[in-house]
Amino acid sequence: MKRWIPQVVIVGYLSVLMYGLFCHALYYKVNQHPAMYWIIWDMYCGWSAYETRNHVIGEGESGQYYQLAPGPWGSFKPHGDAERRHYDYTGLHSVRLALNTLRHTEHEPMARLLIVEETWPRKYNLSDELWARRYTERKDKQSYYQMRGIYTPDGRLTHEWPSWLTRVSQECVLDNPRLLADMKKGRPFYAVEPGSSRSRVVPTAYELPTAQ
Amino acid sequence: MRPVGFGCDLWVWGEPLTVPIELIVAMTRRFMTRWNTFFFSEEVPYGMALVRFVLPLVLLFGVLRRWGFVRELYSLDGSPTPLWVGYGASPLLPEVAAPLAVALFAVLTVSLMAVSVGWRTRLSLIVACVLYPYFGILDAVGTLTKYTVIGSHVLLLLALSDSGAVWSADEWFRRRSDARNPSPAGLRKSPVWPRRLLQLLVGLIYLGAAFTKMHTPAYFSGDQLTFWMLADMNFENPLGGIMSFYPPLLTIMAYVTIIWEVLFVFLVFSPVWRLPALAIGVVFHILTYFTLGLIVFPLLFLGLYFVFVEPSEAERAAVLVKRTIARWGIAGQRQTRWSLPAPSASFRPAYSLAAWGLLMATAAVASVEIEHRRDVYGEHSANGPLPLKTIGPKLVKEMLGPSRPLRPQDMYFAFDVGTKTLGGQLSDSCDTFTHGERAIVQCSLQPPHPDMWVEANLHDADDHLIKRIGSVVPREDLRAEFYYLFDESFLPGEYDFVLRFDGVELTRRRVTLEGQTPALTASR
Repeated sequence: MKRWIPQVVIVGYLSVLMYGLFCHALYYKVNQHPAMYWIIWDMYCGWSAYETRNHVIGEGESGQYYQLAPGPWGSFKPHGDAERRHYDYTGLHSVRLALNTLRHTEHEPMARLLIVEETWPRKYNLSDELWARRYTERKDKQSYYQMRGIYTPDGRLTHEWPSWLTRVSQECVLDNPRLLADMKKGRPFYAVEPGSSRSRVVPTAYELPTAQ
Repeated sequence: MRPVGFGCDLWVWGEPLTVPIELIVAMTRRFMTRWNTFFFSEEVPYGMALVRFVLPLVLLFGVLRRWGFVRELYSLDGSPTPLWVGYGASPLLPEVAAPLAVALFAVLTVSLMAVSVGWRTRLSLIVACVLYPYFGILDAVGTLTKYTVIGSHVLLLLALSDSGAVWSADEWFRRRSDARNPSPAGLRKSPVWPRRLLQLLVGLIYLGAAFTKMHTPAYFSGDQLTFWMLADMNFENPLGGIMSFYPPLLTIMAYVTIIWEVLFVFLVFSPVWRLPALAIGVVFHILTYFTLGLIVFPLLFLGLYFVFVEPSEAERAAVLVKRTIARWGIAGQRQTRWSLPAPSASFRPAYSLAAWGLLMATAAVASVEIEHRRDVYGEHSANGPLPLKTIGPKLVKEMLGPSRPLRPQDMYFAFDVGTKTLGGQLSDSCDTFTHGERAIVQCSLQPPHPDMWVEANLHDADDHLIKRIGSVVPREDLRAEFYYLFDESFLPGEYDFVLRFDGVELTRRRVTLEGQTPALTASR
C-alpha cells in the first residue's frame, strides 16, 4: 500500500478524535449533528438523586385506560432490569412505542395517548436490609407522577410538560415573591426547541417592557 | 540576501532570535523518524488478533439479547427510535421492512462470529462495521450506548488492520494451502499503525471521560457517584448500595480515577508505567460491574487492553500456553488431528469465500423464516391480535391526579454523626462519645430542594429538648453540619440527635455519652 494512504488515515482519524475532545471540553457544537455522538466521550454525564420510569398509556373512548408499552406480547430489557421505554429520558420516542402497540393489537378507538413520568428518590432503591442499617425510620417509598405529553391517537403532540425534576427545581427557585413579581412584569417568550424535529414550542424566557 | 544556514527570525521578549535552518530540518527529521517508527514499524499483529477474537464475543452479548426483538426495535413494522430524532436532524439512514431487518441482523450476528474465529476476517469486519452501528443508530433508546460507539470504532480499526494474519481460520487455511511456511517465522508482518490508532483511541476516550467528570462538580464531592451507585437502570450492582454508605471513599476513588484517566494516554506508552496504568484500568473496569452494574462496557475495555500486548509478550504467552496444554496431555491429540497433511488444492480462497457467502445467505433466510413463524406480535395466533392490557383505576388516579408536593423526608438523603470529615463528608460514624469529644452532625440533602431552615437538635433519653441548633441551607447546597461539644454539663447516658425541617421531625440518631458522672462542686 502506498505510504501516503495510511498517513492520511492516521492524521484524519486522529484529527476527528481531537476535534471531538475539543468540542466536548469547550461545549462547542456538541449537539450540532448526530455524528457528534460518535466522537464525544461523555459517559455518565450528569446525575440525579431520583429514579425515573416512563408510563405510556392510551385512553379509550370508553374512558378505560390501557398500557401501550410494553405491548401485550412482552417486554424487552436492554441493559438490565428496566424495560426499553424507561430509557427514553427525553420523552421524544415513547409515542412511537405506543403507535406500534396500537397497530398490532385489538382495541377500542383511542381518545388520546399519554406519556407519564414516575419518579422516586434513589435512596429507596436500597434493599430492606441496607435500609435498616442506614435509616431509623421505616421505608416509606412514594412515587411522584408528572405528565410529559398528550398526543392524538395518530401521534400528534397536543400538550407537553417538562420533567418532574425540572418542574420541582423551578418551583424551588420561584418560591420567592420578589422574583415572581419581577417575572409578572413581562410576558412569556416562546421559542422553537432546537433539539426537536417536531417544532415543539417551549417557554424560554420572559420578555420585559423597555419603558420602566 | 539571507545567508545560507539561517532560518526564521523569531521575536522573544522583544529581542530578535534567529533559529538556524539546520536545527529546524534536524527537528523535522527527528520527528518524522519517530513518527515512522511509532506508526510504521512492522510486526506480527498478535495484539490486534487478540482484540479481534475477544471483541465480537463481547458485542454478541448485546446482539444475541436483541435477536428476538429485531422486528420491534429496528424495522418499519416496529417502533425504531432513531438517533437523529433527538438531534432534530433529517433522517440519516433508511428504516427497512421487517424481513430485511431480520436478515441483516442475522448477517451481523454471523459476521461477528466469523470475525472472532478469523474467517474471511476483513470482509466479515467490513460487514460488521457497517451493520453494527446501523442497528445502534436505529434504536437510540434500547440499543445505542457509548459501548456501541466504541465497538464501532474498534471494528473499523480492525478492518483496517491485518488482524486475520495470525491465530485465525484464514491463517490456518493459508498454512494448510502453503506447506512451505509452517513455522512462526513465516507469519505475515504488517505495519503497526492500526494498533497504534486503537491504543490512542483508548487513551483519548479516557481523556474525554475525564473532561466529563471535570464538567461535573458533584463528581468531586462524591455525590454523583453515590447516586449512580443507587441507580437501578443497569444490571444488579452488589456493591453499589454499600459503597453509597462511604462517600469519603468515593471521593478518594473519584480523584484517583480522574488522575488515572488524564494520565493514561501518556503513561501507557512508557515501559515503566504501562503495567501500573493497565492494572489500575483492570481494577477500575471490574469495579464498575460491582458498583454500577455494567457488564458489556467493562468486558469491552478489558478485551481492548489486549491491544497493549507487545508481540514478544504474546509469543511468550503462546509458548507458555502450549507448554501448559502439553503438560496436561491435550497437545498430542490436537497435534495429531491438526497436522494431517492435506492437498493444497482443497483450500482455494474462492472456496472459502463461497462458503462464507453461503453461510451468510443461509443464516439470513433461516432467520427470516424462524422470525416469521415466531409471530412476535401474536397477530396470527388463534386468538387473533392480542388485546391491550388495562390499567386499574387506582393507578390511573395516582398517575393522572394532582401533583403531590415534595415530602420533607424525600429532601434529605442522610443524617450521620461522627467526629471527622474528609472531602467535606463525615469520614467516620460514631454512636459513643466521652466527655470533651466533639460530635459532628451532618445532614445530606438531595437536589432539588428549596432554601431550607434545618435543625439538628439534641434530646435526652426522655426526649426532652436539651439544645437546639439550626442553619439555613440554600438550594444550591447539599450538606449542613452542626457541632456539639459534650462538655461537663452533659450527664452520661443516651441522647438523640433529631433532624427537623418545617417543624417536622424527619429522623433521629441515638448516641451514648460514656464516663463518670461529673463531681458536683459545692458552692459556699
